Amino acid sequence: MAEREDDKLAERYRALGRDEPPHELDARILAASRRAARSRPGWRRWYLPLSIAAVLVLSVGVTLRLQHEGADLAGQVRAPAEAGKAPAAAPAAPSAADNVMRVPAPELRLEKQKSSQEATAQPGRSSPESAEDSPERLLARIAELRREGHDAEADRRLAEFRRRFPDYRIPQALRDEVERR
Amino acid sequence: MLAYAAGDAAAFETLYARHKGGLYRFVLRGIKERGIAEELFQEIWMRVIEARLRYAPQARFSTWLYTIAHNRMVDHWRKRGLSLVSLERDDPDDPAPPEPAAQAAREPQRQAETNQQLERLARALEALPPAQREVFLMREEGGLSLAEIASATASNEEAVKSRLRYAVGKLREALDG
Repeated sequence: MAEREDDKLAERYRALGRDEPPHELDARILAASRRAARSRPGWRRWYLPLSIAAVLVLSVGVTLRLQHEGADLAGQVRAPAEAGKAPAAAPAAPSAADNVMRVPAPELRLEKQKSSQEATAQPGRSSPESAEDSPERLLARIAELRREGHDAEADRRLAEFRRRFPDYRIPQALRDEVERR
Repeated sequence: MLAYAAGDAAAFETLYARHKGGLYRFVLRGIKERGIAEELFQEIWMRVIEARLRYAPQARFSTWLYTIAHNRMVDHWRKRGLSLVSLERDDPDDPAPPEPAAQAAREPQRQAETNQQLERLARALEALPPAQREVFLMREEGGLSLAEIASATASNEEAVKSRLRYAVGKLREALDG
């Protein structure tokens, strides 16, 4: 009963008229809304493009850094691997993940760093140690000379190596390759 | 509203088309003076435009819209010298609305002239205390629930229910003659 009365009241109320705002009032309000939509605050207008640019710059930076470090580590670590007894077929282009896996043990890296400092302190050596004359690279070359039968040259280079890197601990597998048997 | 806040002007036009009629009648029947009502109506929409970046969809848009309208109308009434108490208070001298049973017993006399009936209804609506009229108009024009009206008017649901009962009772009386 009450609901029916409510419906009747609502119906009578609607019959009072459906006044609408005049067109010029509509036009004023809509014009203001369009002006506001066009004049969004500057930082909001640039927010999206700036965010995208920042992400791109960061991504490129990280990628370049990884590539650079990867190449450096590959150069350091590949030499002893090549000099090993059973060298596997080296991948043509090591991935970043490979490089991470090939990072030398901390002990070895510390040794290398120390040796490098000593090497740069020696007279006659004006440039810092390059990948070409890293301990691993030198030992690989000695092992190669030994395999080719140039024992005298290998002995000379090994003696020089030990003078330059007195604290460098040559891994047992590699020692068999570089020392005269 | 979120689309409009993101710069989509057409989204505002859709919202405006959907709500302008109800809001206009809400303000017009609450204020009664057409010139002032139109001014207030425009100000309410300007507030919506200005607040677009702060809008957070915690409730229906219509609840938010009528909250702004309520606040703007309270400001208007205050300027006219009405205190907040008089706006919020239901008329204490009013008799309680008739119970449905009593109303049924008093068989409504249908008026031959519909126009006269509507005239009485319009006058009764105009004569309602502002707080009762506001609740009735929010329900009829905004389609707001009791809870939404309570939220829009910073009131509680029981008070809203009571105001609506009083308002409906008086308007029914006017219809019945």
